[in-house]
Amino acid sequence: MAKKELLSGNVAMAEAAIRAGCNFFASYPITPQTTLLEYMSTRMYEVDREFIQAESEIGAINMVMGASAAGGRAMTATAGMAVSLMMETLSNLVAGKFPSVVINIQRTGAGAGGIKSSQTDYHYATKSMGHGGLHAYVLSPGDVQEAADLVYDAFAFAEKYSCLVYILTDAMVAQVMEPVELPPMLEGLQVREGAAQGNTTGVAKRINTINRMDLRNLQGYREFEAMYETWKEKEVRYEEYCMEDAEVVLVACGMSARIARGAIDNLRSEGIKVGLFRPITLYPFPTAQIRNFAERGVKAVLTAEVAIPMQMVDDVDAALMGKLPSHRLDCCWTNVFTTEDIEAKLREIAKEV
Amino acid sequence: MEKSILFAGFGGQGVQTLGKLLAYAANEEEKYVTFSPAYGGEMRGGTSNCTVIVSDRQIGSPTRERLDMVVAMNIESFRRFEPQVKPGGLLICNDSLIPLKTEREDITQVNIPANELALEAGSDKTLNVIMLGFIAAHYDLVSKEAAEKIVEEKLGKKEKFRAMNQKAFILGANYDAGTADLGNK
Repeated sequence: MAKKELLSGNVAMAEAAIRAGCNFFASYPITPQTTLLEYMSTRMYEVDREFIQAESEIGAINMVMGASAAGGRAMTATAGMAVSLMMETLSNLVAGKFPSVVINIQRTGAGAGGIKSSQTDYHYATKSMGHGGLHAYVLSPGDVQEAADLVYDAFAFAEKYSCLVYILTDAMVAQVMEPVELPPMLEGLQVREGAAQGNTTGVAKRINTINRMDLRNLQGYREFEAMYETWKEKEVRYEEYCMEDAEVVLVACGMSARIARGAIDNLRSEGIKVGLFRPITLYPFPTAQIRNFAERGVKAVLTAEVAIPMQMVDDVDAALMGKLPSHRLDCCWTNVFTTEDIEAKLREIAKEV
Repeated sequence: MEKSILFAGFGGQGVQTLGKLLAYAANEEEKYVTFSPAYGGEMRGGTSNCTVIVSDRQIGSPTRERLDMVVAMNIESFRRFEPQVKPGGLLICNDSLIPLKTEREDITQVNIPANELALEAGSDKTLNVIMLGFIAAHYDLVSKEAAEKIVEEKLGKKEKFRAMNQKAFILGANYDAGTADLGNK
């Protein structure tokens, strides 16, 4: 095995995108994404691909849509508040089925917010990509290696389904440096079929799949509906840790899952039957897997999030359908819960079951 | 075995670089390692800190409430992070700038005159390398050889600085802290 490189989540995601064939990156700097953009600014040039520091996030996402329409493997990266600026285009982009990748490195809270790491964009990313109720395929990496791997796979997935892959990560995963084994550089990629490469046949072709002027055209929306059902059946991803005989299960993703892992280890070393269930796809959410907890002998569930009010817990509760007690642990981004806090809460719940 | 170390000092003292160098050295030895910078309004003159965790198995949280070792480069860092040292843990101080002694009896304080040693190496900018040399030589985190190799690799691109950093590393590694109990292992 090749020696691992010590990289931050930002750099690992950027390099993974390049190795997956990303040939167009437009973005506007914002903490905590800046080092990703900085890396791309020199590295894309080295590999002779397009890098644009846009005039704004609105410009960046429109360039991504245009590049994708023309067959580019396009990506942008930003943070929560700037996703807001992109929302109109994101809605158009998913409706138009332009394959592309967006990375949202979550920072803090609503409005101008702050720069600390948080998980406050969960609903925003998973419930509807802008107006219109269509979805992106939303992924939550748990560490730097997985961040690189998910971004690497994102481009092929986006082309397979003609969809937007939305990496919802957080400042902790983006800024921590860890040893990473980078995937190989993909060579000889073909421009996807259907891309606007100029009119070579003399027959006009439409690159936007939804005719918004035709109000009778529901077929397009039915196709989206069917695609989401396919995702729910075939494309749900999650990680189980110490789940075999777990009686108390912690459901957490991203930075929360990372903080929690040590708590699971500590309690397991005392023989307390706790496990960690970590959703990797946030849309589609692993609903069926969580619904099955009771049948597997789980007695109680705890959801932990760096968000007030909590958000993912709504999906956990919907999955549980009241079959199991659902406990909550939240925290504010200025005072993030520690491994010890999660351990204490799990211990308390384990005593009751 | 898992060890957590927090480095803290003024922005400009090379605290982030120090943490990264240790993390690179741990990676060189194919250990599990995380480097977690504390970002904020931290710039030259402000305070800056980072946490490094070195382990022989997968690492959970990259930041910790309680630390095995705190390396304080200035007074503010001493005051802020001394309470976070685990009982039985270590507080390594740059006593060129920290005229303080911990009142805790459950931790070991070790003093290094890092600024003086750095000036001896040729520039007080090398004080982070002095600290790295001392830590690598005296504590069971990374080998001295791995750390020395990383200093050469990362800070040795220009001959002038290569020689200076090498000297600083050796000065730090050879420094006798004068206390019988270095709190090692």
